[in-house]
Amino acid sequence: MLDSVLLAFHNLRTRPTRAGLTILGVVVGVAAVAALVAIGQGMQRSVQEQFRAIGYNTVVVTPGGADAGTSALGAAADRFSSLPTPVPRGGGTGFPGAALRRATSVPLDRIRALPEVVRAGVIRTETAFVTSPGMSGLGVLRVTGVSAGIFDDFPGYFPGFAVDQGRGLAAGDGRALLLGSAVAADLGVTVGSTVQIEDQEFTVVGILASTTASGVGITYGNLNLALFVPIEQLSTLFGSPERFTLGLVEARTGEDVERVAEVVRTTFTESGIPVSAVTTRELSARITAVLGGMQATLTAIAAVALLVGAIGVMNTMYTSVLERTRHIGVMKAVGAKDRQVLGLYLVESGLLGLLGGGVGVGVGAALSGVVGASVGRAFEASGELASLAGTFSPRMEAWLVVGALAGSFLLGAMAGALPALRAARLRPVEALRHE
Amino acid sequence: MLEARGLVRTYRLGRAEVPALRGVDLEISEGEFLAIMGPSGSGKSTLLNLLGGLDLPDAGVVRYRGVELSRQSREALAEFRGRKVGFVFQTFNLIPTFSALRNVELPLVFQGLSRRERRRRAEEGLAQVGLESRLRHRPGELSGGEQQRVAIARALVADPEVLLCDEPTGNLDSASGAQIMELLASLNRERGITLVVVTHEPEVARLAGRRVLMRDGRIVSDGSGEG
Repeated sequence: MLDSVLLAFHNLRTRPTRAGLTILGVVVGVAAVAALVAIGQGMQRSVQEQFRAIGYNTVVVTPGGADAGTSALGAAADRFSSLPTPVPRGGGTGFPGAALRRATSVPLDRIRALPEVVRAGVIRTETAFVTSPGMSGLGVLRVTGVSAGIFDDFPGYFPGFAVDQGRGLAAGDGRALLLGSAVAADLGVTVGSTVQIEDQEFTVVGILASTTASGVGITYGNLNLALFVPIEQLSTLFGSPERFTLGLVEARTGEDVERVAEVVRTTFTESGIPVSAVTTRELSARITAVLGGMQATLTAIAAVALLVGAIGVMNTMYTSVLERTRHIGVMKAVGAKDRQVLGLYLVESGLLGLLGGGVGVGVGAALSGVVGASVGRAFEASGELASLAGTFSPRMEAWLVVGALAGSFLLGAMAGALPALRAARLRPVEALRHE
Repeated sequence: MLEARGLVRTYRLGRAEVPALRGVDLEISEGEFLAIMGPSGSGKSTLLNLLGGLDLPDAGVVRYRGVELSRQSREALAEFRGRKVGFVFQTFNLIPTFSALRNVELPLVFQGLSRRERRRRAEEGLAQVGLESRLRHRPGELSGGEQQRVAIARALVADPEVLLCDEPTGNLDSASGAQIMELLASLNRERGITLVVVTHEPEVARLAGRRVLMRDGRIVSDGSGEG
């Protein structure tokens, strides 16, 4: 075996340009696939980490839910992609027709009172006209209503949350406003300033520290651009107290979270608000599945490059077999068996694949780093999608490296199989006569 | 030891059939030095290839110590070529990118011998043909006579019983050709190796104990006498 490898190396070295170009062909394919898989792995990992931060004994409630399963998946997927879907002003993100029959409000107190629930919180996001004395004109900004205590109760949902100046929102706050550092600067406000949201004046009670943390499934957008008010104030501004964007319910340790989700759903339904309630574990699994599907599709496309690389290996091997026909004849004349000639050529083409794979993994790692960083920056700069920026941190796992190397060796060997078989089958006398 | 019976071999060149051997019987005894002569196209090389298992006949049989070559598997045939016979070609057929040493080692690689053992035997073989100072040279850096000596060392390294040589001096000037023939003859004389040499040079054939003359795919004379 070692002899085959040495011999194969020797043969590759005699045609360095051809070997190099062939390897380059493999490099491109392996690099593309490895980079995409690394990026995909990074995204899945970051989703899982975020859900782990929120906690797996948490139930995520979203409005709607005639069919809880699909709508939750849809909601999750929507939120993951966070496409800037224009939110109808004053319309909330509640499904149209949700709970039109009865004027009611989110049953947060009833949920909190459930024996199997430790804590619960709810978020409502609306788009509002916002202006301040330090600002000419007015902006249309996303305003997020939060239930009291949600930042402390569900820190995992607010990665990077820290009050820099002033204080956070407290129970019993009236028209209090807690805002992100960037939006505070834009509005030209400090703690104690007033900001006008729609037709109401709010007092700035606190400003958040600037953060680069981000995550999937965040409804409030970038924390630096967030405007937080007590959720009751949004009912005052926009009506429809039954509307909400997201509810978070933490089950008591030891409770069956699935069952708690069921109880939560029932409680909402009894209040006339159809919702879907899904455990974070399931949500995480669904988003991971969606990401996995995306990744599989992208990887399949990148695999075309891999196929081209393999064809390159095949071409090179056919050429070498043709070129070395006489040498094959010599080898057979001095006692080489068919399988030894076959092995020799398989190792040689496998080596082409392996060398391409080795370089390809390296290039792929670099590529995924560059792409991840630049996509992350692009998302960050976009503002609206900034919450996704941090999810583009590629991960080149050990199994990916080992798999890519083994796979590229196999790919090379498979591409070389037909030429190698041809070489092995040559009749010695004909091979020797070859010019 | 080597026996040919009713050998027929026909080559197909497109539609035309070119008969190379039209029924050849030949028996070669152990330790013999046999020259096969004849004009080009008479079938000498074809016969040599069939005797060494490089090719198989269309009809007739080749037996080596009673074993019929045509009935052997490809694997067993490779084994036969690797261990029982050594080939020396007119064009040397050395691997140009290999050093003399690695060229000589090659048959032993396919026998799965250890690197150390191979190296030892290859160095020994090259010393026997007087090339101990040329181990690292590539064929292109050697003279024709030296290249043929490398090829002979390669043919001998697996310790075969028969050496089959196809115009071994055909590409050499007369001085180095004479040296090569002297080397081959001494192997036959001193080591008792069976030597079959295809040639059309009478001075080469003169060294042989037995001369077979071929014409048009048949043996027309076979004897030890002069001429």
